[in-house]
Amino acid sequence: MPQKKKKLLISVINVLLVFVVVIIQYTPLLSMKIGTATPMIALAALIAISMFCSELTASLAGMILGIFTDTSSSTSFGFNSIVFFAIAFLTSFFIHYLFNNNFRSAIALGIILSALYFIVRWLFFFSFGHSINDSFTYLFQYALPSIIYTTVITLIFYLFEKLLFKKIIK
Amino acid sequence: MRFFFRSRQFKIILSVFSFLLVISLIFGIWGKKMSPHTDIAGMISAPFKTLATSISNGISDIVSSYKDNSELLVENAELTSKINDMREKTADYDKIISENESYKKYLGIKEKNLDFEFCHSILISKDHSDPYGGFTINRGSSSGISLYDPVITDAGLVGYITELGTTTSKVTTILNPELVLGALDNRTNDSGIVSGNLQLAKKNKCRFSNLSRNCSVAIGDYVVTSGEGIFPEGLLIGSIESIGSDQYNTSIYADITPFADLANIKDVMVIIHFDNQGGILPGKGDY
Repeated sequence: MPQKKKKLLISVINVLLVFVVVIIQYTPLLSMKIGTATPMIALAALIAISMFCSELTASLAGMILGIFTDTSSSTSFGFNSIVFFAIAFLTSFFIHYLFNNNFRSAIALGIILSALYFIVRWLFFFSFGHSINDSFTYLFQYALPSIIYTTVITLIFYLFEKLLFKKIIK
Repeated sequence: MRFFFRSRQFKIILSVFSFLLVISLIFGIWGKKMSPHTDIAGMISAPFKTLATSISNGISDIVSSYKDNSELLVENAELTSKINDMREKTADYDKIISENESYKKYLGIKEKNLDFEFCHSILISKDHSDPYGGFTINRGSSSGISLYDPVITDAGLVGYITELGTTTSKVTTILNPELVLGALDNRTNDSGIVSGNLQLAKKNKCRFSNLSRNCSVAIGDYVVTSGEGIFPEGLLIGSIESIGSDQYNTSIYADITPFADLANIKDVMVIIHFDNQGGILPGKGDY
């Protein structure tokens, strides 16, 4: 199979993956919640996909995934489209210039970028307009477990993406 | 690395990011509406979300019917319906007593309801990461829904519309502290405000606060909307579960359990019109 077709096939699989992920993330009875930890599976999939893309492709994928996430998320003002765009860019940028593309990098990026997402979310939607008690309750009891949970899901997606590239490209 | 920051690729990324930021700020903060790209994505994804929700509801029903005896489910549904009817009747009864005692301060809920115009909507997606249980419905401005319209179920008040798209809308529930509404004890007419907090949201409860120390609210009383803000008068909110003293001032508060089952909502009614609609949204001013 020519290289172009292989890349197209990977793109199609990733688009389908993202579509399924957004549906799973927001379907009312398909909650993956464990206690107060709720994984941001759309973010996990995005980090994993961005590790294998160029900065521009990753950023655009982040934007599109963010826009679709915004249609269902309780966050307002197109928050996810902006943050996902930035996270996808940072993932791809870090992989190209700072990290090697391996499992340990996936763990590091999963933690750093999930933390970035949940902290920005906390700053915009929970640190102001809520009581100090509620604000810190969200940060430590909801955001922190969710960061760990999202990182775990990121690793699963990373392994899937790695397998996908191994099977199709190589 | 520094060559990357001078590249055409980086300039495109920066331009798209700036554009996205500006559009979101304009439509989100000033317009209080979904930004156009989110609105279009909402229109595209709504049928798929509806389908996914229907399938998951169907599977859930099948699983629960295997788990429980189907006859019990039917009986349970009938009893729930009867309880809701009885709640309405009890609320009306309390209301009539209250009217007689306080010179008929306001009209009965059913009389008022004649002016309501409803829009039936189905829940198409739920943000599991929102501790206050916000969700999206399959109706928007094209169905006559406006920003801040009240959202109810047959059991009671659910919340209000906080983000409006053409075919979808986002609902903020009464568990969210962003929503502060005037309320009354249906039996005693004691007034206060209902709002949520994170600790109570975990238990699916909210707080009826700012009650005068000499008020006579009691456990089991029904709390209804006072009609002072964006909600019509007399909508059932919940029943009082416990009463406590505020640690910062002399008032007392009551924790209430909403009548609407906020964790398992499948469809809702949006009140798109009622008498004296429009008013002051606590913390947000006139609209």
